[in-house]
Amino acid sequence: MHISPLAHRIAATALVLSLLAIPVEAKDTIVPIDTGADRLEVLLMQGKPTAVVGLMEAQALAVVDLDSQQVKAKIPLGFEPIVTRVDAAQNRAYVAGLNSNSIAVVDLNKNEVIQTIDLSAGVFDLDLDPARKLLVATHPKAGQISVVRLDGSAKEKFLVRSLPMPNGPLACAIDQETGNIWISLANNEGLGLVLVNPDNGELLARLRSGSNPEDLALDTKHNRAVLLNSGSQDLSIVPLSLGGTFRSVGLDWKPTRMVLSADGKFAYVTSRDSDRIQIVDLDAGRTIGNQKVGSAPTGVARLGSGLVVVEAGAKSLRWITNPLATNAATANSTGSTSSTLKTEVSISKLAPTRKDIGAVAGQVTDLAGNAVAKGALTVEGRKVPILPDGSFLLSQLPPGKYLVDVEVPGFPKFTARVQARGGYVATNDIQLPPRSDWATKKFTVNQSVEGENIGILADAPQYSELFARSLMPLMDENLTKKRKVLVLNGPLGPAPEFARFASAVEGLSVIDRNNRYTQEVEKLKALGRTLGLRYIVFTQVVHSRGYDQKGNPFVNSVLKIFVPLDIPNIPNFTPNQLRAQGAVLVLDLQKTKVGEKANFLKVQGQDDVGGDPLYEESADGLFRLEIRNMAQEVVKQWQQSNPFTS
Amino acid sequence: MATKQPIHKLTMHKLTGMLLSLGIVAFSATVAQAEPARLVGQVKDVTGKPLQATVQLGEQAVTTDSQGIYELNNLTQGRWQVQVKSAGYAPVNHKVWLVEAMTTPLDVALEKAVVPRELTQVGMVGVGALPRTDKLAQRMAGEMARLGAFPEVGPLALLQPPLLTPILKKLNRPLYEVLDKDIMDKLSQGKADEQRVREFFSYTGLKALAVARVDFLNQSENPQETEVKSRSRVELWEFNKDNRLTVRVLAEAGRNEKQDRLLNQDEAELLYQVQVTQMAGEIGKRWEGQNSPWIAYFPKGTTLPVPGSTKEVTGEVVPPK
Repeated sequence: MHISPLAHRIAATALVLSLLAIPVEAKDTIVPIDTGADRLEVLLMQGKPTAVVGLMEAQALAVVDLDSQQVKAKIPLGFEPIVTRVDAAQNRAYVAGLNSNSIAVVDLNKNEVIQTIDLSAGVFDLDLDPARKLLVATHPKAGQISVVRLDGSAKEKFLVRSLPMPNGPLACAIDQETGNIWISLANNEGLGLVLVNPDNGELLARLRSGSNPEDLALDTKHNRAVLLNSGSQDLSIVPLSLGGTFRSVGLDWKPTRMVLSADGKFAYVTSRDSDRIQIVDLDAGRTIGNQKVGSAPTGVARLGSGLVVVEAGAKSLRWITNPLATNAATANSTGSTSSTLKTEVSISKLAPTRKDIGAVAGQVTDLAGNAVAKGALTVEGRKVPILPDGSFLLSQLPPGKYLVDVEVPGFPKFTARVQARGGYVATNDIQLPPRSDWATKKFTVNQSVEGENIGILADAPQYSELFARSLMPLMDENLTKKRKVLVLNGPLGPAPEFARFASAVEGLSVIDRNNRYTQEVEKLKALGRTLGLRYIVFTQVVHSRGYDQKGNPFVNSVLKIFVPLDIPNIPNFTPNQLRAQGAVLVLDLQKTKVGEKANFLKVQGQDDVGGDPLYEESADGLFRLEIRNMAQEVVKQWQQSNPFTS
Repeated sequence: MATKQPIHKLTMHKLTGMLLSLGIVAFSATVAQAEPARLVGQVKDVTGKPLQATVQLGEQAVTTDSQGIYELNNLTQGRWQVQVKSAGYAPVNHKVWLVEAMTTPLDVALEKAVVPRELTQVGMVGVGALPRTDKLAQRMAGEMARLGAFPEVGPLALLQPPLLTPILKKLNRPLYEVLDKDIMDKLSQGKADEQRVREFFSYTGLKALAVARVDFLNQSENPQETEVKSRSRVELWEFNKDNRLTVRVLAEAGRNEKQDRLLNQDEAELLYQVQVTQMAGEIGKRWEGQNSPWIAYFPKGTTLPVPGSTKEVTGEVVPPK
């Protein structure tokens, strides 16, 4: 029997319509697919509910009969598919993935790839408008989208046009009315939804979004778009007509993919990390419940009153009763309906949450991580005190970003940025800039001499830190005037107090070629103020062995604290001549001025060992002994002229 | 200790007063019915693995699910202390703000607790004071496990240095100082820090420890050739009946190769790696059957896996049709 293409299409359209109109009896069934997957399409094929899904590790497309719970066909693709779109009229699937620069066209009658559409880059999302013969693909890495015009013939001719985007495009959706394309963008600074003219790439509109809008759904009934923001962990409800209001709905768990209910009132949001589907009431603007499903749910599609979910971790598809229906049923009856659920699906109903109002809580700390005890924050003209434990709560903030003025005695005034999510108490700790005055009692490392302690900072690893660690126990009370001595960095990483500064101090050049202090001393002063240090002692060791003319490669490259030291470079070293030179610089953070001459103490270590050439570890042991002796020498000299008296 | 009352209870009265003083009037409409607050989040270890943990806030406590997820509903607003506990991990206390009709997210990462453990393991670890010797020593330990000289069965366990970090932080010493290479001299002179080693054994749950060391020498006396020399040693660290540390050498091996040209550091490194594997294999041969030093840690009559018979993987490349 011959059916004209038009009749065929009408029949298929009718099928699709009937799929939406006639409720399919919802079941809770699981179909193993033996591999992970991302997004899927669900449709009626020959009257049977069928899922078409790309199998990632298997690099194939699967056609799954959900009624008989069987994988009916596996079509090898040769790449990891993450997105599939089906043209029900033509019985064709368009499949793509991030690591393949093409779209595979699969004939679902013959179950084979009939054609490949070559593109410029890997694909993250696809959308198809069969009526317009329009296919759109996004290329996040290339910052482009591809617009493909299909011609509908058996061996199609494609017209591919690639259009540049302002940022990496993520999800896409074709506007059914106009044929324009909605694209969500990564790194969007809050404007992550654009409308693009597919013919010339013109940006027709740019609308608000959250951060990293990975998924996009159009709700034509309410003339709005729903964005799933995996970065800001919320949904954006974006009005597509004038006069609507933008809203964001916070989520409990980081969202992965979503689907809207048939009436557009609800969004079902999967969360791969939390094994849950979150149900969002889009009209009320809040999460109304969540449902536990199998391991790592990703793609989700609607089927009648049910949902079909990809469980990427469990490697299966799950067809479940519409979570919302179950929710309503359990709420009305006395729990008898729950027995129809065979699996561990459970729904927790949430207490009503305040929509569109959020709060920001956190702690105010100085650079060393100590909580401050007093001060105040000002946001939107409101002044909120900092509590004695350093914590604060900014309540009654509509979702969005705010500037908070921070006033803490002893610190310069500054402005912090915080972000509020509707219905959530967001955590946003505030770290203060370096102190503006000398440390008071609160901020000292020890109790003996306030703000007057000594920090030892070693240059490159290996021996400089050993030098520092060897100095510390030798420095007695007489020498330090009862100041506490703290080794700031060691073989197990920086000391906890110093951890936040470690990266700031890297590459610092405190002394210029003429042995004079540079502007960078100011940074150390700020560090000293925060840690309650009066003195910073730098240690450095350069060592060499006869055959190793290169010396320590770390020297003067990691921490450019010193001018190149003059190391004796004797050409024909016999193997076992070990030379080490240590330098120690004591910096008085209160008195040192930029441009002043730096005076450092140098000590030499020398060891000549006869006999066979020394192995590396044996030489290392001798070096370590030398360095301990050098530390003793330094302390001896310090005792003669104490650098810690002021 | 569980706090039964919030640390700072924000009573309606106080809140309203606070907010009124701040010029917020609209708030009074929502004060009418106090709705409960929620706390949700996920508990993981520092590597990101979800943990089975108990989360306690006031008198309410829940256990996390297979994904480490927990939810606490019907809470009272205010500043509360939350305690998160999991077996084998250091408990963590957090202070959170709860606000009525709002959700406070709190994700927690737990670190392994450094606590004395039962001494059951016989460990193997490679250590060196220099980055290059340390890498080679770790390779030596790994190769001994792979080639069967130190079969990882029963109490025998290969220690991974990154997992020792919390213990070393607690001892405030790098591994090469805890497992001092001059320990034998120091023991004979009575200068060894046995207590530090005892603590290390206790936190790691060790009854004995095999320490692999590798040293090398790359010397060219003649510019046309290089001598690539390495030597390795496996020591056994144990506490005797009097709870005194004893260290003895289980095995030593050495390699010496002449290369007829100058080698750069990377080339030499490769040769050292090969030498380390050879030495690990050689020691494994010596320890076959009843010569194995590990047999003492097993019940009598146990036969250990034969060296060389472990973990062979074969692969086949099938061209597409």
